[in-house]
Amino acid sequence: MSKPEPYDPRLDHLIGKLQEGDLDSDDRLLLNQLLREDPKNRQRYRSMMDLHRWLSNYHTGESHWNQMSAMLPARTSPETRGRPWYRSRQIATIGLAAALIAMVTLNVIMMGRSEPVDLLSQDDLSGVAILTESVGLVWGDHSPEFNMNDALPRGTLELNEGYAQIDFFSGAILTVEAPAQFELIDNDAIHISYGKMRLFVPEPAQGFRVEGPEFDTIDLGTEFAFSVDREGQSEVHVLNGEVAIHAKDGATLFHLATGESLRHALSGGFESIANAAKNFVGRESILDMASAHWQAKHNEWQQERAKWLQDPDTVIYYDFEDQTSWQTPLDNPQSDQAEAAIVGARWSEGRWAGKGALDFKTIHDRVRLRVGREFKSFTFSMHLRVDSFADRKNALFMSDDFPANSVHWQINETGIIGLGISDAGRVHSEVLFEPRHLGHWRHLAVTYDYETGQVTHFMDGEVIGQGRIRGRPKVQIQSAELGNWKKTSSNRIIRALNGSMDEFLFLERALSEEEVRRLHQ
Amino acid sequence: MPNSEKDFIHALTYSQNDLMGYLVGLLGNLHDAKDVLQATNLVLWEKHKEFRTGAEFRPWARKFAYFQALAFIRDRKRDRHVFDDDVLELLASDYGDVNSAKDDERELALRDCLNQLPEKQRMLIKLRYEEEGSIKQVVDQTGAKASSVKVSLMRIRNELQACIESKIALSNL
Repeated sequence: MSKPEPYDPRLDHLIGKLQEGDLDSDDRLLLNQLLREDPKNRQRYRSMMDLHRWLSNYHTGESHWNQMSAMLPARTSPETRGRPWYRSRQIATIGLAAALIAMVTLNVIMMGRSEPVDLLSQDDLSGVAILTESVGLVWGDHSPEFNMNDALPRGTLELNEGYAQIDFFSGAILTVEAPAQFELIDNDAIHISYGKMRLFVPEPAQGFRVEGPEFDTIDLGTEFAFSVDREGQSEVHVLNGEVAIHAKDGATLFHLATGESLRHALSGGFESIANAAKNFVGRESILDMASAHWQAKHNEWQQERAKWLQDPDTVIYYDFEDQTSWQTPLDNPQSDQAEAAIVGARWSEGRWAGKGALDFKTIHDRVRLRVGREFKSFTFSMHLRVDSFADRKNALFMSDDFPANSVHWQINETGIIGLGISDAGRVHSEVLFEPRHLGHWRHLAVTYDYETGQVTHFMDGEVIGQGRIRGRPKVQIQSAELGNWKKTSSNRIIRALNGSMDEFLFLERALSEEEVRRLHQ
Repeated sequence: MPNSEKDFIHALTYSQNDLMGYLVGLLGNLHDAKDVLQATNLVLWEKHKEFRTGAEFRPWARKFAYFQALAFIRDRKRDRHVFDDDVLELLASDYGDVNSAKDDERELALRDCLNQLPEKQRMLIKLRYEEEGSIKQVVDQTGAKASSVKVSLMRIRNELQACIESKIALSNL
């Protein structure tokens, strides 16, 4: 290289020191001086800092898109997660947060494409209501499937079996008995094709409109029941308060008060009928059914649990059950193979009423554990609820530091789930953990098959990503953490999970897809 | 969500890389830049009504980033800041005339250049940057002296930069 450098030769050394955090005060003075006196020096400085940033992005899997997700503590309380520096700021709106997460997520999907995609057409993330109870629900072909606590968007819902309670954002509460098909028009209006429903309308939601095939029922402060059978015959029963019956052209036909009922017969006329509102499922009975349903589920789960405990390949099984809140060592019913201690994380409720769980909320919350040996194949399985991607990554199972052949299992800030084996490689999931998954219980699992090097990611029993690890290493599981990452040399790296865990299983074999599905159920 | 808000979020999303680069330049540190970027995003959102559709977004956003960076530096202990005020101004104003569309091109070139590195050098870079690591991580895992790791890393970065520049020069022929 005979060409002289266009910038000061001392500059690179100074930039190198700056990047490694050991610029002393003399260096600082000189760096300022060099940058001050020559734009070429500034240009060099800028290029080298860009390179530094790209190298970091490249190796941490972060991209410039992702920076944004860090500002989105969708469900985080500022006092526990925000850094002190902007702790006092309130986040604009959840709606904004959701929109931003969605965009960041979409951006990641797009990264491989060259033509721009109109992100903004994907705007309707927000719903008009929430599915607050579901008992034995089977969804029909005409509607998407939703889980409990999911936001329900405008559109048609079809229930083939079971019972649902839907809380509208207006305050109205709808209880539905399947079979039923209806459309959520807005947060204060529905259209029924058929089904039996009961609607409670508190004062702020007055004026709620129920559209039927022949007439519309307008609430005037009340609780009422209505049904439309498959032939199109409709009934309205007022439990309490008053409703107005409107013809399809908007004209008021009748007013019905407490205890009054009306039927629109197929022949076309209206007739007064006996009040049968009690035959419609209301909120109390849905609650009772729900609790019976959970009890049955808990029993089923206990039987399943016993099977996994007897499995000779089970190394760790934390069920987060039967622990009084002051206990900090975590019981591993599977023997004393793995000792564990809870640091900070608090006991709470899991997937159903009565199921124990651990909440990971502050950046210090963690479960520390020690296994201390080598494994060939393995499976991690976890029931978990992620509340936000407020930080850069959410730790699931993280070996301390990241020594050779140790394991990191985590969700990155864009919702991609990754399994990394140090020095050997990592495999990411394809499907993303999306905004709609936040705040809901999900089952995640990952398997590593030593014979083939194959890693498979699962969410809710479905395969969501597969890949191979080069060299098929045996993995070392020494000291590790659930929900956080301990790094000896670390200064400001935050990987704390923001969410809850209610079951963790570690087996020393790669489970089959069917076995993972069993764990999911 | 009104269209103006959508446009705003869109512009904000696509300016993250630009803003991050700008802040890294002003603060000389990746972690600090990330923190200040987050704070800047919040301020930008608070101010979004003041943004006139059709105006240039990036210069407008950079202005807020600049003030956030100044506030950040002011809040720190005196001895921890890197740049004097006049140098900060110079660094900031240099940005006005840089075409950040070139950034993508450079980033792609970097990928190629990384792949061309000898295995040992690539390993060093990986250790240094993986999992947001540091020199210490490299020292722990390689057993090499910190001082020689630093020299090696500096050399590798310079090589990478030279490689990127030659690729850019070629593509501009």
